[in-house]
Amino acid sequence: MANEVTVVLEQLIERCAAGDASALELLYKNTAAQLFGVLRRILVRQDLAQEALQDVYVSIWRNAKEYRAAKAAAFTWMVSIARYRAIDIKRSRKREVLFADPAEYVPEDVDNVDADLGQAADRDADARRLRDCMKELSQQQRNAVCLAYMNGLTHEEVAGTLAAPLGTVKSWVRRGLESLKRCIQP
Amino acid sequence: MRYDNPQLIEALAREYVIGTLHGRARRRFARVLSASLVARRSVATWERQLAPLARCVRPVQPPAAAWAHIENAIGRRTSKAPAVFGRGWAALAASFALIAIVFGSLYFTQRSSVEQPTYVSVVTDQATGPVWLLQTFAQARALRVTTVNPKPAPAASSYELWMLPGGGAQPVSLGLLPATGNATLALSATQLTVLGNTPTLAVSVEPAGGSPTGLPTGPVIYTAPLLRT
Repeated sequence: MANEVTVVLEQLIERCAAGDASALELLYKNTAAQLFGVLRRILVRQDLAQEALQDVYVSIWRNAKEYRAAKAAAFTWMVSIARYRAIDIKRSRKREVLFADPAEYVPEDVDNVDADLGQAADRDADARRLRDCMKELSQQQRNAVCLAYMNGLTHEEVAGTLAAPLGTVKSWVRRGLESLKRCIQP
Repeated sequence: MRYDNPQLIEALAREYVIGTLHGRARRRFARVLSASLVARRSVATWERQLAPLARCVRPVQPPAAAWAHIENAIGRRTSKAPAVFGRGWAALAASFALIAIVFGSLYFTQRSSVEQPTYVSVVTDQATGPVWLLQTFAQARALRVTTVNPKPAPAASSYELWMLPGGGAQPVSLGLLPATGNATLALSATQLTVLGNTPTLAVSVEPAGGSPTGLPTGPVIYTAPLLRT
């Protein structure tokens, strides 16, 4: 069941494709804080996150015509653009981002993901499925997957954060995702 | 490397989406994506499955300067004036003319006892120009709708007017718009309060009689800035 907010976002992207800049403004007002949160989590530095946010909405504007072909939910489409942009910036300016502020860099709320997914699950069948399937992962697999996805960490960085050997971390991420896939689409 | 192996494609798609594929391998896979439907499908499936995790990240208000940069980059001139861009010039000029008439008439009625509108908004169709003129009278708690260019509603449908308060708040209905002629919508104290924090109005197509859920269910066909007089 598509909720009302999703329906409106999709309409707005279609109107961006038709060159209606007021639709982009509405889209920005309704989604920028969520995307900025995602970008800040990956890039840590406010200035880099702002730069990324600007790139993301310009990219949404320019690629809005391709949205229909992507056949994705509006949020999924937008958040993917945002994450890929942030990951590109983070990888190309690795040192600056990584050592920006180690205290801020270490995520403290990976364990809260369960509760947050639970809230999202009330509205969204995809979130419900993901929440139920995350429960089948080991704690280490779940942490490794969340650090890679939400914080945009490389395998090496996850290994550093969780103080585990690189090979072990790689297999946590791989097995975690394989098990999610089996559970979500049996 | 060969990209016609479905298991390899699936593994690369998984690492691409979660972000652990990097360097040259990432760039190479991005190129494979534009050519391979199988790879695109695989990526889309992972994106959809993992997207709920991104919703768990706390929203953070971006700096105000970010929007100005974006407007600049897409070639939009000002942020405060309604929609100055693209092919809507004629429609826009008509809207300005209409607003000028409203403000002009305000000037002449200023000394009379007639209440002046607190907010004015013109709902404009990119192709046909202004459709509705909306004037809100705060004291009288009324919204006067003047149909400028009649817009017949699709069969068994009504046009519904919404406030979009921004900041992620849900739209709030103001009532149904007439397809032809004029109407006056009564406003509650709550609606007036929300209106004070609303930058934009929207019109959606709803089942006859209005949205059954209290939120827009049909397509939003117009948005219009709300101007304080």
